[in-house]
Amino acid sequence: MMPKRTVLLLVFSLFLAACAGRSGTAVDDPVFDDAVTGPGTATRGVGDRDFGRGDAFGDDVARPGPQGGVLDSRVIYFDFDRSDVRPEYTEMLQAHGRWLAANPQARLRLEGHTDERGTREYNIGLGERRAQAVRRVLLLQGVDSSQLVTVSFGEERPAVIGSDEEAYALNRRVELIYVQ
Amino acid sequence: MLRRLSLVTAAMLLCLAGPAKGQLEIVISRGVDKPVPVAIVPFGWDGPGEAPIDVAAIVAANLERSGRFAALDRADMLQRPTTGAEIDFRSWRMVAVDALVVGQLQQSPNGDYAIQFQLFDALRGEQLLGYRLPVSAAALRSGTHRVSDLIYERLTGVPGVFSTRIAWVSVSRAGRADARYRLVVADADGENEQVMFESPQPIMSPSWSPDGRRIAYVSFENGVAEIYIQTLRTGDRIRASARPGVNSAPSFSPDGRRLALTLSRDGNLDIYTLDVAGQVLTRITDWPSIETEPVWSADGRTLYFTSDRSGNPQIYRVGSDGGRPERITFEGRYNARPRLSPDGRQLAVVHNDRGNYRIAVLDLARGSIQVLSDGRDDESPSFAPNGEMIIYATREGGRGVLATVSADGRVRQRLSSGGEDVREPAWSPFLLAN
Amino acid sequence: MARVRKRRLMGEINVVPYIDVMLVLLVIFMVTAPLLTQGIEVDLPKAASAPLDQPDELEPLIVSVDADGRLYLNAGDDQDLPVEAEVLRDRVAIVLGRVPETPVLIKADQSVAYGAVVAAMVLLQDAGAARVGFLTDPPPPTGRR
Repeated sequence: MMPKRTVLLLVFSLFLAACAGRSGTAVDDPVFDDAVTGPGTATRGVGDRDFGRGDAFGDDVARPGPQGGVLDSRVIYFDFDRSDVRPEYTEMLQAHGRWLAANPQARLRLEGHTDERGTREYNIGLGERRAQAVRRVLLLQGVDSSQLVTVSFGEERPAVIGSDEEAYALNRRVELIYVQ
Repeated sequence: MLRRLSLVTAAMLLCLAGPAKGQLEIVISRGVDKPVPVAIVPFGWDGPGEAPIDVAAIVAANLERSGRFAALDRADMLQRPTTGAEIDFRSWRMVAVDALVVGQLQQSPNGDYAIQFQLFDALRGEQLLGYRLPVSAAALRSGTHRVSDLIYERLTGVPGVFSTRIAWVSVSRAGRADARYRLVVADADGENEQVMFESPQPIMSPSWSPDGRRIAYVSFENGVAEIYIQTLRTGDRIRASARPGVNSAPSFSPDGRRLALTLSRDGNLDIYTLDVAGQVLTRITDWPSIETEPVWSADGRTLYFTSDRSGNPQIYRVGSDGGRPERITFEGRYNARPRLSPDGRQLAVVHNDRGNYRIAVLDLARGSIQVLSDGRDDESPSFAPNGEMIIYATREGGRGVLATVSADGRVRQRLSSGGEDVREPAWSPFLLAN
Repeated sequence: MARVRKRRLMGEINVVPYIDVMLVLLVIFMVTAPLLTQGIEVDLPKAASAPLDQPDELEPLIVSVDADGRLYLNAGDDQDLPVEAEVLRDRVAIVLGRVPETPVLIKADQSVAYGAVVAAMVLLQDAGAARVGFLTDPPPPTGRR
């Protein structure tokens, strides 16, 4: 029993170490995990280093980032198959942009989403395009590019379950998520 | 300590959680006009106690699922021969079967099994096929699928795909904070379901290696899209690409050494190839539009992919070492996610058919598109390795279900799963016998 | 309902089935035996009759009745052994269920009691046979046995 547990721990900590070493890898560096774990229970357990992270759901009352007024708005909605930011969001994005420029240590994650129509991988592209569109607006406000990270979930994480226009409209969005 | 460890373990992803109960139930919704009547006589059992498996029932179900055969009801069998010598062919002609399978399952003293069977032409009384297959206890079911493959090939001239597998992604509690995503692999009949990988974050785009031993897929477990490759037998996995931005749409090259994939290194998606072992990255497309969903031709020289450079998604092809992409779909406003047929003559695509996203096949020589499915939001077509069927995902009652359609559109089936939201089926290549 | 009716038929087997069979359900035809060599060997009645016009290549079901009144069927296992009436009826019903136009023939020994032949006919009617043929040997007394 004891040796098995030790092996398990060892493998796990090795893996954590390996992961820690890998973060912030340069673009052209190989990003390649060799078979870090052998067969057996350890293998099965390893991998969820980020359980619970990046959860963009729900109205988190104590969410990080600026509070009050238009800054409480964190979602930008889009038209079908479009990625241009509608004028109604200008004021809101300007407010976030000013706040980010004034708080250069703050980090914002832009999560792009689509409705369920069309293919999943194409929708990843569409979600990314939407996130990039919002990113460009913020950069124009003087936000440093290092403060912004874009992620596309495509149609994988709908805000609303449903196959009607109403649900589609609520799912075509970019969410602004301040990262601590 | 152990307690804490197991808590941590439990909180983490579970790769290869082991066998789960088969959840897919297959309903043939539309078949060929005149399926060939066959009789699969219950197999004899030569061993202690009860037979561990009903070989004939599995073979019959397999053949019926192809849509090309109708298996004779056991109650309509006038005799139950288990060897060729016992067959009275008139008794089978009288109940109008064209072909007949008899056989025995035997257990040897060491615990291994042998499946012995003979296939006969009932009209002529001739043996068409006779085999004796030794199988281990663990391989009884796959051995039975192999028997089905042999019978199917002898009767149709096309290799059977009953011993292949299907991978898909299932989601429970979709759209909720406690959603669970699973990468599942099962036999082609939906049985023997196994969870390869499980995560609270989305899993996407499973893609088989050409030898059927590994699956590449996209996992958001670290909050962003990264590509992993997992070995089926051991559950071991590697992170093949986790570059900044999107890492998505993996597709194995025919030699299994490279992946075609999509990266967003400069803010929009482009196609790259990646030598997996050496991590050598080659850029294939460079265009300010969405280029994604690459797939290789069988000779490895061409990549087909989706691009919306024309204003809406269409299929293009380009040399696998780069070059100038050439558009190949012109019919309709939306053609995406190509998958090549095994003979290389057709592309299965998602096609917008009067507002509905449907599975269609593009004849590469003629350029014509034939719509095969009839759903509203059908996606992820994947050819069976014999080219006869296409599996895809459709929606029914607000959740994803899997369906198959024959490549000619005549046979359609729905694979229902017990309440799970399932999507992105991927049919394995032919698998080597183990 | 149908069940009740069947039971009554069986109870009055001497008269009613004859009428029922003859007039309502059965078309009886006679067949010259040389065409058919299947079934158990019995001493067939001699009668001149038209050769069997077999529907295209359908193999007939042949119910043989031997001199002792035992039944045989040319389908299933052990065709040279007598078969229980219920088994015979079930087998005929299966075949007719799959291929309704299958010809059904009775091949009774000429010494068999009339009642036994009628019983066989009733059995076949019960199994769903709408037409039953009788096998005969051609008239010349030198006919084969």
